[in-house]
Amino acid sequence: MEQYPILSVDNIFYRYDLRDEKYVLSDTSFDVMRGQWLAIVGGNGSGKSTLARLIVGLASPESGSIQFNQEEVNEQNKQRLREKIGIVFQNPDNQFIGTTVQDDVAFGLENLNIQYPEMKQRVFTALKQVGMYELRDKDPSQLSGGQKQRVAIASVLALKPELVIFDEAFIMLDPKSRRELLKLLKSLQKQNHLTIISITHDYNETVLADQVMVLNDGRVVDQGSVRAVYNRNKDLEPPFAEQFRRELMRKGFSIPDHYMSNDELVAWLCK
Amino acid sequence: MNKLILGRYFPGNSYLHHLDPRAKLVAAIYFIGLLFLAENVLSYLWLFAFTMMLMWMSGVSFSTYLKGVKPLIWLILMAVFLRILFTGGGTIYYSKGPLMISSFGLLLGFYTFSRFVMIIFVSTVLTLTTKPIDLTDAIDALLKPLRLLGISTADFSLMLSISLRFIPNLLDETQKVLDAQRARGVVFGEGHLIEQMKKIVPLIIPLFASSLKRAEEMADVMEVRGYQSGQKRSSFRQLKWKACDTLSMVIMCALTIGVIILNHF
Repeated sequence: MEQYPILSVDNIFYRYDLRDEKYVLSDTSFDVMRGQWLAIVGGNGSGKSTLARLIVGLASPESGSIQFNQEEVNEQNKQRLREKIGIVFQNPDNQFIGTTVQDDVAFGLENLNIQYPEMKQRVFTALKQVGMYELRDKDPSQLSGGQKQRVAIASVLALKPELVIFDEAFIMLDPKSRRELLKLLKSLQKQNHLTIISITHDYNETVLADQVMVLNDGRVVDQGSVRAVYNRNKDLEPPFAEQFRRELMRKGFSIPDHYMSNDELVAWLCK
Repeated sequence: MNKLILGRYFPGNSYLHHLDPRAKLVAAIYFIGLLFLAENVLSYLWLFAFTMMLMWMSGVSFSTYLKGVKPLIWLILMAVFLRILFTGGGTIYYSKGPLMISSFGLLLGFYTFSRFVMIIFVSTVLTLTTKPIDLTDAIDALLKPLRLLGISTADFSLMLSISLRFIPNLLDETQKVLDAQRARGVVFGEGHLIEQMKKIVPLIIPLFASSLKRAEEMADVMEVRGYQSGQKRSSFRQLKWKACDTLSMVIMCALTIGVIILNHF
């Protein structure tokens, strides 16, 4: 596999208004390798969503550069590069362009001028992946928020991107379907070397990631493996297993003082 | 809003429901043109019979169609009375100044009435048996020749389909704002006209604000999914012209021949 990162963000600065003193993002740099899953966590207003908009070229940084596959994202090539980058936003209602589920998934494919037989097959595959195939003829008013969210995810998967950004895209889902979809994404990451950036509030979601990046006030505070980040940042609200471990430690159990994944914790408890 | 029958779709399984939307749209427009070709009572009755048959075939009850005429009845009656009162010729039954009631006037009044009613009936048959989105596709297909002039018809039909898609959302939102304002103590539908109009303002502004926000988000989504105005796009919804569609065109020709023949009696 290639050695260069699929996405490389280099020293970007961004503010919404040039008159503003404060930057939404300042001196942000990070790399994402192909096939990696990067979770970006941070509080409200930390610049997470802005970062996502910059990566897909909906806005341009004031200084610094964003490179996708070693090519700088700019006005001229963003349309072409976007064929390889997908993004799922938070509000599923405003992401529904088509009049029915299948029309919506087909929208992006129509834009790429893909011919009907292939389009049909890709739409159906994507809908089956997210478990919405049976509801393909429904219109958005007949769907729940979570179902619309699945359609939005299918719309992006149908485009077969190399990199997908999920901007808090799982909040509308109930816990069970969230687990299912995250599992699906994990398998897509494994099999198709899909690169995933998930922006999230939910610390349990970070467990699946290879890397976690903590954003605070527009700056990268920490980046590393899940284990390292939770070991270093004790004030960060951790995933369930880690929470449980810290609680056990506080109660005086002689549990190792480092981050443990679900499996490790279970193994330790069963000892 | 719910009273409007014209422009609503009734799901069904009739022969008309299965026709190609392009065939239906062309036939409906053609039929309206044909109405102006009819010259005597017989040909009008002939067209009436055809309209009735269509209405029966659609499988929708006759009262639904009458409801479609209802909101327009005063407009129709006014047109009819103007026709009756200002047309001279034939036997004159009554006259006073420029006003008169003549046999010609009555006949023209009947024609006007029939034309209006049939236009409404036939367009109602069209919209009741065709999904709005299929109709959009049909309009898109019929506008295709304009592409040769460099006009982007795809943008137009996408605009139409997105508007259609957001009608239920907008209604939902209106209801939400209405409830929110009610919870804050606004009583709608009370007071004199000016007062009632004033109460609409706090309804319109949040709706505008949210529509603009929604439009912006949607534009972003469309952009990242690769939409570019004027770019060549393929189409997921495929229209298929079948034998029954050709048959319906033949029927329209037969109808025309019938009108031409009956005009001579």
